Amino acid sequence: MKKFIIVSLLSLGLANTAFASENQEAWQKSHVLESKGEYEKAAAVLTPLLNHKASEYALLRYGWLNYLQGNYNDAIDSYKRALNFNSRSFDARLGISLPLMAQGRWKEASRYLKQVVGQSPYHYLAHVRLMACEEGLRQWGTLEKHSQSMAAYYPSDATILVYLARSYAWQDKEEQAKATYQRVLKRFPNHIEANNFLKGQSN
Amino acid sequence: MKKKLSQYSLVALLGLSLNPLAYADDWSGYADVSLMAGAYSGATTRTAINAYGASLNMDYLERAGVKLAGSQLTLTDNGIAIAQQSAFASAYWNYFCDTLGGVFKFRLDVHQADLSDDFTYKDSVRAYAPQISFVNYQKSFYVDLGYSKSTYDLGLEAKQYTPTLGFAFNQGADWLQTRGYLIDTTDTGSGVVSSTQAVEFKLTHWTAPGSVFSQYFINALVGERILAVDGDAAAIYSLVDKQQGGGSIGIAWQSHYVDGMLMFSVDQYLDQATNASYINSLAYISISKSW
Repeated sequence: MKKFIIVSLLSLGLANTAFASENQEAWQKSHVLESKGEYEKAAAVLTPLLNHKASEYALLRYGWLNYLQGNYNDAIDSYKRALNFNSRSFDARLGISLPLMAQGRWKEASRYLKQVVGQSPYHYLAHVRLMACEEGLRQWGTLEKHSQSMAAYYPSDATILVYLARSYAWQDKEEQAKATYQRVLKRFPNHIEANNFLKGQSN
Repeated sequence: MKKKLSQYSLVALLGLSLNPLAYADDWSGYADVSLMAGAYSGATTRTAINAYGASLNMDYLERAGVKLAGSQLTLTDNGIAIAQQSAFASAYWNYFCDTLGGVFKFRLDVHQADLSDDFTYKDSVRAYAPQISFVNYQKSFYVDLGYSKSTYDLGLEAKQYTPTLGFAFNQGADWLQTRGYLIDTTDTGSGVVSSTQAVEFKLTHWTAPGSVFSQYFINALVGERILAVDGDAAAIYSLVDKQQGGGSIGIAWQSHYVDGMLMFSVDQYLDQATNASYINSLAYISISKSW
């Protein structure tokens, strides 16, 4: 009996080691395939890991790889499953915002991004994506206030200033748009949009 | 167990009471009010037309939405005022289809209009209009197929098919849409069926940042149509005169407080009783507020 237990434990240990090594191989393979742009194959090698107990990361990665393929609904499902695993996950919320934005579901993406900002008020990526949603919804007044406030926290950032400049431009605040695009050029001298806007103003 | 349940219920109740606040942003909407005034030239009996209306639109994220609208129209004919009260309800649901890279919208409109004068004339019409549409994620291509069936108490029935195609050009700054109107009208008393066909062209230009107006548009109708149902305008054209083409131009603007739209249209009609053509000119303005 004792021998049997020892043999069983040994075989369990071996099986676990084999599974872990297979996993390692799957992860590695998935990353290599992604770097080659073979997103479908990169996602397929992760499929056996999705229903595993500790599959949170597999789900996040599966969501990402589906997003890259343009399978937005599958990506959304995968990120939602990851959120069920870990309801505190910022990664799942930021992740799900991408396929939602790609489908033009700005309000729904905003919902998840606002949840991140609710927990982490100055989260850069969440704020920048939220600005993209405000732009998608053509909420120029909201975008102006939002980007103006975030520019104070990230004064060297050009992306936030571009959103601020766009909000001014769409609201017919030409002088402010011009001044803001000039600030963009200080940070990013070859910025096409800023250069084009200022060129248009001088003509 | 009982204690556990009551604790659970309390937590659930608190959750429920907080959820509406947390998800208040999930609903958005806009309301608008509109006014229309028109005149006739060359008409033997009709002298004036005017209307006012309001609508309320509510959307749940980008998934679904409803619209309710009502209007009151008065048409002066032979010195007699004919009133039309209209009600409109519409609901839609979006399906996001990655295989085709766009959104299918399934929509159902219901129109109801009651017509009467101060004497004995009374009629009413109901129309049911389902529509399926598809727009790609880039919003550069649109197609829909609409159908409507209108039934008039005084013995008319109209079946309408509206295939539509729209596409963007000039880097998304312009939009051209064409919609066919194929309408079969049946006199339910005599069983006589007549058909009309028309094509409507809509060209919209969205302006660059900094412009006074957000868009300009020009519309034209070629061909003939009668008893048409227009889901975009939430309108049912209950007049039995045949529309023989027309056109409209308009502008739209956005401001910090309200958005607006102003349109002028000129349409030619054939009075089927006198076989005389006349022109109907209209001015239309709407002001909307979104939240």
